[in-house]
Amino acid sequence: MSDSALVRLLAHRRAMIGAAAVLLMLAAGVLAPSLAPYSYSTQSLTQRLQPPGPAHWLGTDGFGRDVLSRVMWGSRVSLQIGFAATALSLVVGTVLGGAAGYFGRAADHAIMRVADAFLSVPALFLILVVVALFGASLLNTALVIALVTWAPAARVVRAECLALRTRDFVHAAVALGAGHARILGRHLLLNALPVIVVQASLMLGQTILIESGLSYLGLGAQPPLPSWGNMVVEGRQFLASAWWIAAFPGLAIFFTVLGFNLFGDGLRDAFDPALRGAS
Amino acid sequence: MERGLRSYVLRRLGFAALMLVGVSMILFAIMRLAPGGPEAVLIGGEFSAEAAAQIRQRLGLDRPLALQYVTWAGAAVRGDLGRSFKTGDPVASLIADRLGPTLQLTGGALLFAVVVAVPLGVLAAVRRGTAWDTLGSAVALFGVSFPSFWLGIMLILLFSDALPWLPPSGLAEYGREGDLLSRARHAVLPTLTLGLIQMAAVMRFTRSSLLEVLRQDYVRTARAKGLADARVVWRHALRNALIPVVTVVGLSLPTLVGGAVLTETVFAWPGIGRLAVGAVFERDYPVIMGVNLIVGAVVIAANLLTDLAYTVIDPRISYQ
Repeated sequence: MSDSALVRLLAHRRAMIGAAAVLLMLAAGVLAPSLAPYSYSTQSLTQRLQPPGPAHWLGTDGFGRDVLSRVMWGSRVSLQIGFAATALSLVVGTVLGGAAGYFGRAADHAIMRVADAFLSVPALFLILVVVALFGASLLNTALVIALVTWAPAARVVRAECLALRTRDFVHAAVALGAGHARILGRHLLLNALPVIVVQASLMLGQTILIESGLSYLGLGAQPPLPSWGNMVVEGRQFLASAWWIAAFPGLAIFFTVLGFNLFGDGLRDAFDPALRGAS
Repeated sequence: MERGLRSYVLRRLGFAALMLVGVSMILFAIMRLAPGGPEAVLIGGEFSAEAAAQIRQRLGLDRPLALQYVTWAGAAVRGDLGRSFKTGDPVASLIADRLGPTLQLTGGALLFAVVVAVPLGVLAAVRRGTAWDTLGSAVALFGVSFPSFWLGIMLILLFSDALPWLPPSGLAEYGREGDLLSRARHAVLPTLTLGLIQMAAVMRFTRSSLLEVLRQDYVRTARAKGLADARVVWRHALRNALIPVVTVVGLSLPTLVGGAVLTETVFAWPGIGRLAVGAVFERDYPVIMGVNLIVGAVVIAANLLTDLAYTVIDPRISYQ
């Protein structure tokens, strides 16, 4: 990132609010073992369904477990899967999208038609197929989320590489006899990095939303390990009497995703002022 | 129909067919990668090698993969999607029973999204930089950040528990599925949940697309000849601005249908999303495959219609 882009980013108020939200949730997860007031699994029948108060800031759930502690621990699952799935999806999307944009012709056609096919199956349905076959585990969750999110990433990277390919410095590299790997890696993808970083931030929000949806369906993180999605399900049955059980984990998802989206938008503005407010 | 247009439509049809073949191949491949294979699910628990071989032979799993695919795809084309492992019912009829509620839900949500989002997007663009614009951006940003299942639960909390106005689940009261009023009351919350999430993208694109169009020369000309502002915006600018919006609506269909899985689960809505989720827990492969194939086909068909819609909306596009 050039200095001026960094300055623009730091001056971007909404991006900084987003970054603060993300950092707060990240800290909550990382520090959960030492900072959470209670354990995420200790049950207490005398403390069941306590409303938010001084002893339990966000109340307790149907087993008397502290909701705040569980929300903090839950952020570990959501963020870990979010980061893992995004990284995986970006690597696949960047390599395939870069190859499609750089080599063009047959490679481009083949890769992008496969991407189109992936884009036309609704992500959640495809995830259901894979989870049905391979079972629900943290690793599988990250893998299937990557499986359904690589195609949009590939599209973005391809478009950027297509545009970069015709630039003079690429022609110069070709003329100097640089190999495919060097041109693609050093000249195209490195210059596409801003686009990829913006994409990463927006995808993090997406993958966390998908993970929470899977957990809600019972196909993600399995109890007693708390994830924001399965906490909302558990809160569903106490909705009328104890709204806080479902409400707070959902708010945590919302703040985290909102944070990544605000930060991603800000990054885009910072890298490319011409695009400011364009989309 | 002129010749360029006809060949474009034909090409687009062929492409859609190819896409469907691609989708079916992906599904088939994933299915055959399953650890243990379908025979393990059918028998369940411990089983001998002979029993497995027998089942494999009965299901045709001992034949070459390409042949299996052709057999399966050929039957699917004739409307035979196999039978449910669990209940033995034909998958096609299971899906047919559930398709109606899902189409009602997704169609209603899309209608709601477009009807609310387009005027909001227009207001945000025309009154750029005002409170309307801020409100629009906030709605768009929040819309893509809400987990839909949680939004649905909060709506139930608000409009079903706290204020007992609307029923929290189901298609209609039991035995009153034909009662339109009951159906409508039950549809409000799920449609709203799915629609609110969908609204964000449409509203963002209406705004940015209209802003772009409002800078064009013909808009300046329209203003210069003294036309009223409302007429310039709604008649001259919006019609052109809506073209990319149609694209976004088309592209967002998979998300819409995918979102229906969660919405149907939250509201106990008897659609194909819940059928699929139930089948996953039962490892009922034929049902999962069938649902995915049909959903893929519906989405591809909808995308085809979106593309063809341009020929009506935008006469400038050339089809050479």
